[in-house]
Amino acid sequence: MKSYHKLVWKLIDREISDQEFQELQLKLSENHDLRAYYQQCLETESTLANRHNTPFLSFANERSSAGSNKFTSFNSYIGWAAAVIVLFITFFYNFSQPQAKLVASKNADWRGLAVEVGELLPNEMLHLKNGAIEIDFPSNTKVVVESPSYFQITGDSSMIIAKGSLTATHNGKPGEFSIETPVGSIIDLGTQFGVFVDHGHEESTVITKVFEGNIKFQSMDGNKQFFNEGESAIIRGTSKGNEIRISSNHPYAQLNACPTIDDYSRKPAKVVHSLYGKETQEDSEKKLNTFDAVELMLQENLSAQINYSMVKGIAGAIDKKVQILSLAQSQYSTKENITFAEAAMPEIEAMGESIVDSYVQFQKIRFWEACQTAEIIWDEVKDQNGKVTHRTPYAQRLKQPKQGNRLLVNLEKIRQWVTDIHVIHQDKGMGWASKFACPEDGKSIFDKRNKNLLAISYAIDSIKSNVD
Amino acid sequence: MEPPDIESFFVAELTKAQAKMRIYLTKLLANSPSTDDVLQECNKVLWVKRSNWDPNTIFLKWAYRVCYFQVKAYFRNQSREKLVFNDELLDIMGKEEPDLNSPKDREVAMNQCLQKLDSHDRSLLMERYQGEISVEELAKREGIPPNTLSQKLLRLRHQLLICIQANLKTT
Repeated sequence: MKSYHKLVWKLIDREISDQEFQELQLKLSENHDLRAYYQQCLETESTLANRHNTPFLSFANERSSAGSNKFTSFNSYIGWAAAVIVLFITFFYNFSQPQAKLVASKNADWRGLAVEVGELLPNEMLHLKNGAIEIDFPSNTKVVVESPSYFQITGDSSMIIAKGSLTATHNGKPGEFSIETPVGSIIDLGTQFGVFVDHGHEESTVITKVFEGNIKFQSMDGNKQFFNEGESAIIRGTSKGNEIRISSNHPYAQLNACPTIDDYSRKPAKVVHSLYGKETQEDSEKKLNTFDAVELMLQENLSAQINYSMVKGIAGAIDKKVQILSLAQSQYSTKENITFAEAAMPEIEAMGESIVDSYVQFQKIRFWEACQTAEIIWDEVKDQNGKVTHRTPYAQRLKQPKQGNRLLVNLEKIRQWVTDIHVIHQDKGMGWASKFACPEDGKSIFDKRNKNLLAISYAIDSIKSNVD
Repeated sequence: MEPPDIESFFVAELTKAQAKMRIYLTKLLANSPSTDDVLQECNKVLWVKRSNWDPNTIFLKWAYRVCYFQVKAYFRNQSREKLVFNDELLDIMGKEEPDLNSPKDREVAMNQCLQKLDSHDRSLLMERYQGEISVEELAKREGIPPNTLSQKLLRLRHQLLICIQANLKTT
């Protein structure tokens, strides 16, 4: 990196000295390439700052994005700016002063307009950069807004959240209080719920979770959906109202309730309500951390998701049996020259049969379904105290695949066991496997096993080559 | 008031231009903390003067001119601003043509480049940019001097920029 490049970054970081600034200014005036570099740096900064707006990034998404046309339609680029602008326009048509009051704040750091505790919130888009605030609405509603957020109070019982998160507790008349998001309205039906809003270049993402009672979501095109206590949803779309997609009770839709300003600092210790009953934050995080990368990559491909769920079920069933047999093998000591394969011949043969004479066409299973080829990496967003405020998962390919659900490794193990028996059979003569020591009967068993071995090998080889 | 379709079209154009306008303002204002305030002022001016825009012309070019004059006005009124480019350089940079490519291409390229980074380095960058956490706080947590972390972040961003440019050229 050249020294002037460093100065450009120092300028962007606002860590440049007066002398360096003068030096850089002179260089920028005479050097077009350096100005282009400055421009590139700012573009990179902007993209980096907005990157967390790509929730659930996966390889599949990246591939499709990379191959997409460069043309951007008027409707496609609806990011946080969209919300701000649409709401900015709203500002020109709505001059009424809502009676919502700021009743408490914790380390509130505002950008642009700042509001003090005890003041009414203006009907303008506000930017809370750090901290949290608590608002009381005349509709008997309390809302805690957590930074970083852009929001606007639009009436005595309504507000807009353009970006950020909040918890609303409404004790007034059901259906009176509503929150506008970039993808639609959330109408409180006497309840407590959380909302999180973020944006990408193409669409907005809203996560909502009902902590108590129920809510109604109404998209821009008028579609309605109700959510009850414990339910959650990820809603994606644009403020134009088209292509709204709702994933109900999605495992990533986890929000913490923050009903009062005091809960803001205690947030990590809070209990998270979920569809599965009450669980601790630790349990919830554990659950989030243990989902698998393939599930993330198969988002929006329902057919593949179902197939993968079935493969996982099959892998689990086979693994259970293989583990039992493996444990038995580890505890077995050869007696009277009888090897483990001989002693466990009925179980091993049954396992081989189950693979070949199965409802499942193992040769159709993909490599990435039969072992672990990617892992979940979490991008964490932290507040000024170093506490994680939210996390975004994405799938990262592994250089070396791991065993994962062990389907592939178990198939290989079964093949090895069956092969061991086959070799013994060959050594001891055809009559060995027959209950009646009959060579013809034994030969028939031998031939059948041979076919099974070929079929198992074919399945394994097919899986290894199904790498799409 | 104009018919709703023209108004919607203007809002769509203004919306689409936000990221580019912010970058343009950041460039002229040397990443001043007041950039967002100036942007908001620009939005207001653009809205008030919306009838001056000819929909057959490139919106961003018109918006840039408005932004340029807002920056000049801002510097006239803000004598406390520390880093202020001279008029000659402001004029040169202010006249540069807008890049009309979609920011999405850059985002896709950057996501690919981020995956090539060491996971700890990537995490550092992400925290710095998305966690609203200062370099000082991050350095304290990492147990290194802030200056060392600044240098590291500087190198990582340069590395990322080079990778993004290479990716954009190949797509």
